[in-house]
Amino acid sequence: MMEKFKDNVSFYWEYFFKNEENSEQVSQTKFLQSLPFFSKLSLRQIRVISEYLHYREYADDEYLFEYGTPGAALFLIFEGSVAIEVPTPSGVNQVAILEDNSFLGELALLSSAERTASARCIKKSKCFALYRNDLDRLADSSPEICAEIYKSLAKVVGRRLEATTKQITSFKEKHGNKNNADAA
Amino acid sequence: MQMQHEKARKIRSVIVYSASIIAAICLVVYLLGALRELLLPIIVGGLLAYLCKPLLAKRILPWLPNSVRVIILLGVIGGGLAYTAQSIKKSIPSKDERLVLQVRMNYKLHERFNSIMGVDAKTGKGNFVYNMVKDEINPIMSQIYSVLNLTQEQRSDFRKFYRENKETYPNLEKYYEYYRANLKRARIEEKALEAAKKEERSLASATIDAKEEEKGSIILDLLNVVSTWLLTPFVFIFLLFDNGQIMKFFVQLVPNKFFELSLRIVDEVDTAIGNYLRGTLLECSLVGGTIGLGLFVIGIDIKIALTIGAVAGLANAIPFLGPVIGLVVGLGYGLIVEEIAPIIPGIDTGNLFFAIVGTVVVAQLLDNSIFQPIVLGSAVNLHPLVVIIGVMGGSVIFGFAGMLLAIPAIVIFKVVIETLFKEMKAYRII
Repeated sequence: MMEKFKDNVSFYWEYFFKNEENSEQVSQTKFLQSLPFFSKLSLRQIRVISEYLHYREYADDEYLFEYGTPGAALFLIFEGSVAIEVPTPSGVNQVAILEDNSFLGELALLSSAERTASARCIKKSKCFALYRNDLDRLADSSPEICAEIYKSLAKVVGRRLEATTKQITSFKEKHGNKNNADAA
Repeated sequence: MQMQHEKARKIRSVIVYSASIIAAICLVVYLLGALRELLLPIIVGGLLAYLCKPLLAKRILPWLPNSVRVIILLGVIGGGLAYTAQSIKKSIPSKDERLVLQVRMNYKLHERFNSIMGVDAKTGKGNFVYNMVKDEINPIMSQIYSVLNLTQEQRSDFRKFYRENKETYPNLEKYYEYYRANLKRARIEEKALEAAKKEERSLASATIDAKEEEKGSIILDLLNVVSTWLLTPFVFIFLLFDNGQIMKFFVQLVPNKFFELSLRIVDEVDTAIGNYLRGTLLECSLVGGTIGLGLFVIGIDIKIALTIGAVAGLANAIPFLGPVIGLVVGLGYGLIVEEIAPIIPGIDTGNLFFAIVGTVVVAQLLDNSIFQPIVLGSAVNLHPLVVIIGVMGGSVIFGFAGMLLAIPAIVIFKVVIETLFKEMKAYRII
């Protein structure tokens, strides 16, 4: 009897003080804040940007995007895992596996150049996608949010460039040494 | 076992999807047919919203919330349209005024024709042009005159109007002279006039009742029009309130494989059609403005010049036929105008005809050589044959509105198909 009364009361109060956002929305906001693109944004700004995000659910073995197609959107992995694969003449070369709270395809935010790898889900995944032209439109209505995202994007791309340069240097060193050895 | 289960599921999903698509298509087709009357208000509201969208995206009054800006925009557009409608309604002649216009048109047409052809009223001989073409042109002219000649009933209405308004209505005395001249020319004999007079007496009491009836039906018509057109502002407001949610909903329905493809198609189609429609609107406004200004310069009253300009501008959206409509409206007014105040010297009512033709020709030349290339570019190229057949087809299906909307509809169709195939190839779907 008492239990039932308590349930009713708690239901009443829960309803009365119910937060506008449900738990799923809270975890989505937390997820977005954990990503470098949105980490500097306020809660209000996160809410604005989340209006532009497309929520997608992928089954096992479904592609987020495929090698060689024009890039259109940045993908944020909320849950699941995605394999990055590059097709080579000798077969598919798996480059990396991305898990929860990571992102991929960020270069699509800058241009519609062809994707340099395929992204295939290796288990059921939930993702958000941000379309390039939506980001451009955001520049019109909330330029401060857009500037923050572009800044983070520049940092991410810069880090990748740095890593690539290092890789090329070390590759050249090895390759160059080998060439020298052959010449000798 | 698992495989079989998956296979069965796949078959079920194919069945469910195809059944829902077929049902949706049937429903849409049925609704389009049944709600034909609502179609035009919705299209107009949607079109207005679409044209105004960039006004909201650009940071005009950025400190105002979006919804307030939409309402302000609606107020401005609604006010503008209401004002235009009001002034058009004022300039639409009443039944009696139409009779006066008909009389004036009949008289002036005859006068202009005779002065151009140099026809002598007594001998019936004209200049050499007249002698050359009289066999061809006389039957046509008499056909036109017979359309413009008043019927017995109209004659009595006109005389009644004259008696009641001869002190107040400007120039009515003169128009009555026109009327008599028309009658004389139409070789109506005194007998017929007598008969008409008798008829008029018997009709005098009946006309009052007829007028009452007419008023009632106008109110009824107005109510009918209002109820469907009430949709337009709602469509306008809610389409502009929308912050991409409608589009997101439709994109959500797209399978994952086509997700990026659909984003790009929607965007490219939106850009192409937006550019085309906004370009056309700007081009028509420029043409209308040029014609209005031109008519004002050659001496037509500014208000009427701008009204004719607005009509000609709107009609200009119809390829080929539009300029002709503008010309006919301008010439129609030029025919009946009594006095003009030209800014350029040397123009009088006699050569006004050529001045109007010149104005429209100049506006069209400007349109083809400057406005179109700059505003529209080569955004959407349609084959002239497609344009002609499209305009005629539109008029067959939806009348004047169909003529106006046919080319935008074809352009939308073309852009969608083109983009669809281009993008499907880029995404290696076909």
